[in-house]
Amino acid sequence: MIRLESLTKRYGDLRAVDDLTLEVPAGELVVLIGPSGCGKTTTLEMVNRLVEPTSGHIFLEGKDVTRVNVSTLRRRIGYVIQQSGLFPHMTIADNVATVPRLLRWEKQRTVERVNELLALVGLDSATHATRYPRELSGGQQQRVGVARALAADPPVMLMDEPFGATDPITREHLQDEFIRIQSELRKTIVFVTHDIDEAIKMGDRIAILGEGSYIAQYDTPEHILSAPANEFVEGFLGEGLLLKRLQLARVRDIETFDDWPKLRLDDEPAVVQETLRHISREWVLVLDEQARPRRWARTSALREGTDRLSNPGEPIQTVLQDEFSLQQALQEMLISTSGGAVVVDADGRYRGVVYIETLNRAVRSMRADAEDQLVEVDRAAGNGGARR
Amino acid sequence: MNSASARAGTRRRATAQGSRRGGLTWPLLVTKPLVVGAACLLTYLWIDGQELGFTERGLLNASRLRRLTLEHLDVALSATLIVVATAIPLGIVLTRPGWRSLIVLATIGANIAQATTAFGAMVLIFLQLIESPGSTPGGAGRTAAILGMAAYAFLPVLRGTLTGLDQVDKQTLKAARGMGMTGWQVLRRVELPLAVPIMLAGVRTSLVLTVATTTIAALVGAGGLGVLIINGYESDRTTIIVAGFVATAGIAVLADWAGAVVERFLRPRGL
Repeated sequence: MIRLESLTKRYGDLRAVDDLTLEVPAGELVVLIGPSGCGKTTTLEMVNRLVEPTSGHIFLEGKDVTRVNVSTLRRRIGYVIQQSGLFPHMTIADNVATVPRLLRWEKQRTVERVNELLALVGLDSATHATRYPRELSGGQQQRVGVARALAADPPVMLMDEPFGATDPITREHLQDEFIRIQSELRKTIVFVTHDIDEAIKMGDRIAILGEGSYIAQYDTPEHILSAPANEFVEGFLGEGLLLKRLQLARVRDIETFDDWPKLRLDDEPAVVQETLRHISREWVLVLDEQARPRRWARTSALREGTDRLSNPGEPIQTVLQDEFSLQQALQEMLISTSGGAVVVDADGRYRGVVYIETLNRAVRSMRADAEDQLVEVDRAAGNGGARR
Repeated sequence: MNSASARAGTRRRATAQGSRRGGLTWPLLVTKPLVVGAACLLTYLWIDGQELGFTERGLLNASRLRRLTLEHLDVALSATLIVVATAIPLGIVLTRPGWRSLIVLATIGANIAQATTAFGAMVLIFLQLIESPGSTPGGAGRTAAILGMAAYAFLPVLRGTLTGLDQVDKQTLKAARGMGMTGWQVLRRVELPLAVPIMLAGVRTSLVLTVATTTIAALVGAGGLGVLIINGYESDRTTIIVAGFVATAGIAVLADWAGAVVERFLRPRGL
């Protein structure tokens, strides 16, 4: 756990960071984001004291580290920066081994650790360990940067725009991979970025910072997107808030309905006729023998015999699964013939349908939740500070 | 990312590096010694073909040439050694936080030392030394020559050290400190290795300057190949001046060549 207490950094009259208090819970990734010059990098660099605070305290796992030996402190904190900052004159293996060597690990242990880490970040140590950084692509260098920071298994990591210098596709890749690594390792991480989408994707919590590292809002991405605390945050989040919010929620979080009329290919003709007679909806869902959704059929056409159950018709393009985002669900509804999107289980069997109304309700409740939270925060703070 | 193209790129880079280290440089590396050898041989044949009088025979013989060459190298190399041993540490100290304000002052000093005639400095030092008790003209001459040349050749090494350390990527240094290296470890493991190529270029320049200019050491009685030129001038024998000139130019070129070889082997891999 990291706790920053009334942290201030002044450069002459300029207050780069002004009285910042922030707690990063153990095992969580907290993103610092804000306009350039807001002091987010300065804040990050005060945690490992590359920038010495003018006043205030830094606590690491409950211990005040504001005055301890700086080199010893830094060896316990993983550090990743933009453009990797790899040592160009050292091989990949030597780069990764930096901190273990500073800590005077045994040779064998260091070698094993290096191989383990290269594998973790998806690099083959046989082909990469003896290479030099400039022989690697930008994305690969960045992976080495992450491996190097993890080398001595530090409980805490600082990442300063770690994927900022890579192209969008590589960046997405690196983000996904880091999310996977973090879900295994559960480090306590402070992560600086200026990319709001990256913040939403990576952060367990996001601190949106204004000038002087003033915290405009500090909350989970879900809450921030559902209920931005003020105009500054709203402006910072940009357009399409709701869509970003829908990206974070999963299909499993909302209710699916099994009330849509459906027919199976192996249904008896009598059953089919009976069902058709009672359908009031314009469309009926056709399932195959394994109960997998196959297509939408027009009820009237089936009744009149101009369409037959066994006709291939137009198959359903996409079905939703539990882990799909609500944004994907929305997209599916927009293009679906019937206005509903079909949800299947892991084996592809029909589970139900979600409607636009369900989505609408979900969004409203997210917002209400988040607002409740804000009111509580306000009450706790004893004023309307967070909602200026 | 397209890993096939990445691999191809890496291979291309690796080959480029290989050829720079091997094939391509070897012809260049042997060219200079060959040219120097040929020039010396031609000069020898030319002088050998002349009618040589008693004066030439006395002034131009193998043992005398060897002695003058050794004297020359002694002064030039001692001066370079002193420069390396002082200018590099000074450059390192000046780039540490808190000392940077003195960089301008030190550079001006080194500039003045190079701009004022090394000869003048040499004579002044010689005159100082010769007056101190127990000194011999030869010893004072050698010391004066070495110190004069050292002052003269100080600037390239100082500047090379300053530039070499300053051009190290700031992000790389931040990473090094951020991972918990002490100031000394950052210097030894990161800054110096990355500054080596530029520092060596400075040393090489300084070495060539010293070797070529040490001819003036003859004027304060420190010997060296400059003696031949003075001999030739005083006895009005062109052959002797040419011999002195070719020999000096030859070892200056060889010094440059030796510098190139050293640079090649001390340059860290991966750069």
